Amino acid sequence: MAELRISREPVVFSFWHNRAMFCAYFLYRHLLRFGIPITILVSLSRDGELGARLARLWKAGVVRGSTSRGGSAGLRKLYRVVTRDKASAITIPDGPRGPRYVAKAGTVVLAQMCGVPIQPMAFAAESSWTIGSWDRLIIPKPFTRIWLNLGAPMEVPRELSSEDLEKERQRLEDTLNRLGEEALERASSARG
Amino acid sequence: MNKKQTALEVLSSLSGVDPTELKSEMDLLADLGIDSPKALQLLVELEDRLGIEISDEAAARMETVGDILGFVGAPA
Repeated sequence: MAELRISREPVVFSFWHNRAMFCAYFLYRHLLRFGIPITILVSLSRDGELGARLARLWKAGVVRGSTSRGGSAGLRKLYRVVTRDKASAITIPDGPRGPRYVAKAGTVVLAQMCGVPIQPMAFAAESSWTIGSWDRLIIPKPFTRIWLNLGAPMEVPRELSSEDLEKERQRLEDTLNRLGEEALERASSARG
Repeated sequence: MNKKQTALEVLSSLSGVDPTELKSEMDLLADLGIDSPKALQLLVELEDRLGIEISDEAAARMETVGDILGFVGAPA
């Protein structure tokens, strides 16, 4: 995060939908409040409206739309934000409605077209609430310890065949799942 | 440059096919190799250069060169 504050080179932050709340707050604490521009893609649904308001509160830019389709209007707006405004982006690959922990291709397409890496993230909390939503949203309890897992930046080649695009999508999915499991293991070990 | 020429120029730059060889029945993916990443670029270029907005619904219906030209109001 310190490197990003210094370099200001855009990346595509990526995390699962059920970890969005804390990951977005983390980005506010370490980047947004220092004036590092980050724009989040939020769905057009009612749930998305809540996410959009929270994002604006945390000084993030907001684009409404989805990454479900490769050429979606939301993805196009994000593409412009990253390439022209040099802002980082946040995408949630299993949003807006899942399936949970299955990454759609939009995040990979965005990183590929913008020529910026994907920064995968996950976290686990020592103590948390889990909401009975489709994604089983995780809300850390107050004052609990949190383990944040930042993966190595994922560079996506500019030229990709359809098969390679699918491999990159799978790589992102596997990475996000692995980061989440590692964080959970650390949280479990700490609980004893 | 009119809308048709602009659209054909954008298609040509992404597909590598000369604008004069682009035919309305050509499929964007099968004939021109315009996959998801290039489709994103195609739509962004068309929006920026023609000053238009393309909805997701309209984008989903664009499968051929003719569909693109028809949308921008420049039938083949």
